[in-house]
Amino acid sequence: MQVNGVAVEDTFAEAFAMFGARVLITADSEKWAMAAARSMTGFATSVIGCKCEAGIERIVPAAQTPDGRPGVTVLLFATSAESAGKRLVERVGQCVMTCPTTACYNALPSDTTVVVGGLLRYFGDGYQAAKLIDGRRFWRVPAMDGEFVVEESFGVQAAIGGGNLLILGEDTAPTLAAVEAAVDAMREVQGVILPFPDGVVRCGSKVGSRYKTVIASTNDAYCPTLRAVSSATRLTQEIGCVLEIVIDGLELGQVEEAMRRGMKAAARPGVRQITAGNYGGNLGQYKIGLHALMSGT
Amino acid sequence: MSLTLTLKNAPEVPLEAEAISPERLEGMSASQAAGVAVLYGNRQAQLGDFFGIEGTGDGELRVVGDCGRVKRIGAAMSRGRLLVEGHAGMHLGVGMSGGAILVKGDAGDSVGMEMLGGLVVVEGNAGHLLGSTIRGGRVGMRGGEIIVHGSVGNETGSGMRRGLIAVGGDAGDFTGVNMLAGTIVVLGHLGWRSGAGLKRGSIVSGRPAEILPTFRYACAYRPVMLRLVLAHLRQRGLPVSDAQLRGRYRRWSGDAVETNRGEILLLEQ
Amino acid sequence: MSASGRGISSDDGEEPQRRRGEGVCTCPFCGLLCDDITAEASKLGVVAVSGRACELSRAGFSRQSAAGLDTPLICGQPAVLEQAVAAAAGILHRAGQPLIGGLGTDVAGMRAALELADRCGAVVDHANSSAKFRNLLAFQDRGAITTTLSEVRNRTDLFVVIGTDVASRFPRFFERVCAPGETLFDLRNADRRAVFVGAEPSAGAPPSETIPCARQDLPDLLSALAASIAGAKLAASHAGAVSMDRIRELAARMSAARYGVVAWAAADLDFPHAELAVQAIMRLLITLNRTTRFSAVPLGGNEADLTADAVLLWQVGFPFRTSFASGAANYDPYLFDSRRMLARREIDAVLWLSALSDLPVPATSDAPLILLAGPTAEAARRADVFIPVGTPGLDHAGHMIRTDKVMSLRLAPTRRPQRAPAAQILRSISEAMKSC
Repeated sequence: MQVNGVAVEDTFAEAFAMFGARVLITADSEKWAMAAARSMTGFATSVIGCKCEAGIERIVPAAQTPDGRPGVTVLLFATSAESAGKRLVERVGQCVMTCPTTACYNALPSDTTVVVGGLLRYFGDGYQAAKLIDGRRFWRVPAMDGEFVVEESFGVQAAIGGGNLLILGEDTAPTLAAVEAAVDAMREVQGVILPFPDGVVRCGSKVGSRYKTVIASTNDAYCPTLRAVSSATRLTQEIGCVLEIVIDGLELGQVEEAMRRGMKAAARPGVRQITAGNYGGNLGQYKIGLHALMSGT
Repeated sequence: MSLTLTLKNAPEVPLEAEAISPERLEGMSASQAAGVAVLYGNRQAQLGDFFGIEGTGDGELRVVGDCGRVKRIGAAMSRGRLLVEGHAGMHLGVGMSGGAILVKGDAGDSVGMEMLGGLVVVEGNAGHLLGSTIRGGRVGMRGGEIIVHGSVGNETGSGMRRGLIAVGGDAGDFTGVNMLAGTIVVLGHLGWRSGAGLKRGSIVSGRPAEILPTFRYACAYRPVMLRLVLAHLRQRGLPVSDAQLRGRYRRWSGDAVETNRGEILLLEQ
Repeated sequence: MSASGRGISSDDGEEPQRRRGEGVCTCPFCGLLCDDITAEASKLGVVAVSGRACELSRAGFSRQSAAGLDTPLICGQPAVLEQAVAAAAGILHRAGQPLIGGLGTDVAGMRAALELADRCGAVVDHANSSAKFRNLLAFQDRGAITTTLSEVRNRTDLFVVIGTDVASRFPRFFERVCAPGETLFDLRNADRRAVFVGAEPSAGAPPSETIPCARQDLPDLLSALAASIAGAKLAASHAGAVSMDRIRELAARMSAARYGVVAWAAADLDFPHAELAVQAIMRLLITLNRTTRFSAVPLGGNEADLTADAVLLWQVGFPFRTSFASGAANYDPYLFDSRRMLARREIDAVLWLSALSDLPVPATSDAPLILLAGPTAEAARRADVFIPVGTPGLDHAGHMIRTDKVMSLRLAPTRRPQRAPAAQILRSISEAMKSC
């Protein structure tokens, strides 16, 4: 299959069951809501080393937020609901609560919930107060600029992590241009985030290593400089640069849509092939076939 | 199709009509509903003695006429919709735990007394003791919302434990007396001695008010929580202005006679 | 049988009747129920009291034993007792929402009134209930720590009196509790002190200090006092126009007392929501009792309000403003406030009972009025039915409850009875209703 003259390999991305949450941060201005969101989603590229994966989903206009102030939604993914809860407490506590004028609300209705505000309230040292409004419970934690309002419980739901695309290009510049275009297109899809720096991974990994204590190591099959010496190489000689985009999403359909848009946008001059990473289908719960995506099945 | 009760004989002494609730009349035909017992002064009577009844009870109930002397409408209801096209008497929705009541006219005293949940909206005025506790009971309203577009009398929300009371007009004296928690919003003027005996809980007003000496002024700020409450009330149809939604509020902490953990918030003018 | 019921006299049936023309007797005309006065009846039955009797007592005995209406009336016309009783029974039988009010009567009278209320499905409320509820509502919400008059006499070193001079309503209060002589715990009468807040001290009070305060400002002052006693720091410099320094001084004095009392008369707290003042008093007593002893002395019992309340409480567990309309006793101090109900025309018949004085009958609009009262009853001629009743402690024996609630005192008749006891008339009406 070709898209815009770029070959799409007949393979699948192997993705994993995770747990996701959606947090809405509001503040007096979009600037401060974004400051909190950036801080909260920092150091959250991969569960391997960061315990969670998080990213900014979208800006929410003031008219659509519960308190009528500008907002930003953040998605956070972890390997279990409990872990998602702990990370939320840590990150909302250290990065949102600390940021001027913010408030923090649950934006994912779910039967499964984790306690966040209900734990952060203790920072109030006895001066905190709760309010129940229309069935939702919020905590007011006194702070130096007034009060930090945070919802008591946040919803978590089964989600998907590790959807991915590998873009194989002739040189760094065109490959970068392709992934940048892909990231722009994928960010339009609600419910997904691209957890790596501005959405892109340059050191894709494989499971295992010659070193016993190292869980993952460089994906030598896609390293151009190792084409001549790695027995696992998947590259032809024209390939000068490979970049990967990883997608986490709340619903499978959203991950698939993001991948579809990403492939279309990345199929540009200088890109030779689009493929995806998997583990033979033995580890992940989801297999997202690239051809099926493009042919709409 | 709903059941409609139209007042045809105005009671001379008060009529106790807790039978007028959607679930009590559910599934009844008009003639069955007409036979339902009510207490008229000190004797038993029937709904049909006072009301003309049409339709069938399917969870929605309409009451038409000036029912200012009909008491306990919607008492203890837990589901369904009740619409009063006219005035309602005392003890509307007392002890209710769910469902919704809408009164197009005025309501009497003790609306939603000891309410557990549900929603009451009064488009006119209401009387004293709105959302209050029964005397001797320490805890009043435990949940639910009462919204009055007009004004209310004294002792609104006395002993309140949880829930939301909102008044579009003015309130009388002793709003939130002995309040335990919860939120009372009065867009108009508060009367005398609001928050006497307040333990926790919030009393909010859009106008200046005289504050008890046992309250201490803290600061003026823009409470985000209040934006949540007022935005919610706007959605419920209460005309909250932008100035009220976004304004700066002066905060008093009290009542020092109790635990000092309550607050009175007054919009800075 | 005479029209006035003369010759029919009884007490509550517990003791053989005794008449005392002379000698020591008990006065029913205020809540103190002093049992050390001397009464003497003239040939016409006018009773004069002397000895220690105060002006209220003299006026009460004189007024209730004066000549006056001794005949039942129906619409102002003389009638035979049986006719009047039947007429009253008919009115109550037809009524959809009757009120039994006034309630100035003794224990036996109140018991009979309740039986009648139950029979005719009435609301029961006392003439002075607005005053009484200033205390009751606070007691119901917060409880109360009270004490007895003999404890006050034997122990009280500090009186804090709120909003009343005491003597106007209870003339002999200080005379009786601050009497010289031995106290049980070596308290010397000369060491007692008083503080009058919002009123001037009466003659007979111990050496006193006055803190002026307008009555309607008392709740603010008392709340600030309660907060001070609890150790709260208030930012206000004044409360109720009294400086916080003065309030703190009073708080310190109260904390240093050994057995203080806060005394007030609910009838004098005549401003809106006075129960909050009483609630503040209860609050400060709770705090004070953690480190010393301080009790409430709510002065009441006039016009038998405590008597009526006590009988209701032990019979149905509720105070007045209780309705028997549904067949069960239903209490609601707001819903069954007789003044409110009358103003809104929710009452369609009134039975007004006033055996100790002439309690003013409230406007009843077009509701028929049955009046059971003494000789000088102002409304007798315009009532639909008037039946003269005797005064306990004058015409017949009876029991009444004293201001400190734990004591009930026995009243003995002080003349030959000229009118039947209210209890008897009420029971006749109950009987007559059975055949309506």
